[in-house]
Amino acid sequence: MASTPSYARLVEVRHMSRKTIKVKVFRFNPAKDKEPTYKTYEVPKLSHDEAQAKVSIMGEHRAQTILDVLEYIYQNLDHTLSYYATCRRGECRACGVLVNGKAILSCLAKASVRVDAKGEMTIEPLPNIQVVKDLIVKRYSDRELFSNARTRALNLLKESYKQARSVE
Amino acid sequence: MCNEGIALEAGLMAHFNLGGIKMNEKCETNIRGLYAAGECTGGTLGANRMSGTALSECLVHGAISGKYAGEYAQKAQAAEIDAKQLENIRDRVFQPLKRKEGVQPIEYTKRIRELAARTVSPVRNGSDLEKGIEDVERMKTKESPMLYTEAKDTIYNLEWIEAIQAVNLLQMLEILLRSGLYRTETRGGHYRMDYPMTNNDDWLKNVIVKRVGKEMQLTAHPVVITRIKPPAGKLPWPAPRHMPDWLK
Repeated sequence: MASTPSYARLVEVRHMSRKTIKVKVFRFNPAKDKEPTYKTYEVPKLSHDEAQAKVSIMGEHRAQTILDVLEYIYQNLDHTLSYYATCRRGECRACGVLVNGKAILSCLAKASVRVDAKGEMTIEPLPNIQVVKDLIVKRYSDRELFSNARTRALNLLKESYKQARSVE
Repeated sequence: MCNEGIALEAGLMAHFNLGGIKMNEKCETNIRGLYAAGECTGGTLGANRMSGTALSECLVHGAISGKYAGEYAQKAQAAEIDAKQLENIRDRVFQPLKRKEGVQPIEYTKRIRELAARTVSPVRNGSDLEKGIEDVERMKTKESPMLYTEAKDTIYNLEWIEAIQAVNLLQMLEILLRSGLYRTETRGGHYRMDYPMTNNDDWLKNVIVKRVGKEMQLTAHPVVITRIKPPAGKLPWPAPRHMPDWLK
């Protein structure tokens, strides 16, 4: 789980000398756009000390994560980007995104590994769920899923029938 | 482990909040119908909380405040809403979306954080706190009303959330600075270099911050002592006088 696959190590070596990563991000604003678009950003590779979302998995060294990439884009390049992350340590499972076609947690996945053969990265929201904005997908609250509104409405209807019959 | 030469990495994080909303034993605040519980309240754990009391505080307050809030809710009437106040709040909240240029919220929050690190760090002194208050006053009047966002829509607009939160963050920093300056002693988590002793003669008091009009009013109220009286006089901050051998 924590060790990098062998093809990723090859990719890492080949693109080690480059200073930036080309990141293609899925953008969709339901208020304005009819169809989603992709925007490209050049994100610098952060060193061990500069990585904001400090991560140490199973004793491995801290490295720039996908969440670091998204935060860099939001804070420095494009303030209109929307993304979601809560615990930033892999516990809450809320920061899931699709990177190069693979669903990962953005707070844990390392950016140096998640580049394709050309050295670029594509970030999209999780598939098969309604997209609320950019990388954020629809999450149902307990109230929406487990509400007893239907039961209460039916009970009210039954009571009104009973009252109508008792009057007669 | 330190003896073997293995280094331990330590980092800063926000772990607990000392002080907070004033409440009574029923978890009622001074606003009728508003109850406060847990870490956002002040006064239960004194000047410095003990380990293990944070979660217990949340559980105990949760039960008490839930019970009394429920009792109040059963008898409460819906309050009348002041339309003018609502309109003012609405204008203030939506202003960053309408403004075309001004202060960037992300960079503004960074500056507030840097100011907090300089002035209200664990070791404080009076001159830093005074300078901090001057800076905060300037930011409050000149820069907070000028916040604007690049994205103008209301769907998951992270920049807009930061613009609203930055104003509240600045208000919290102002409360911290003013109450830190007001208390001219060291007690628990509040260590002042210009007043390094704990003053049990003059300062067995709670500092309460209240908004009066547009200003902050600070008052000191003597603490109610029921069972154990703290020792009188000026005492040093409880720290070891000499470095222990294993740390040398």
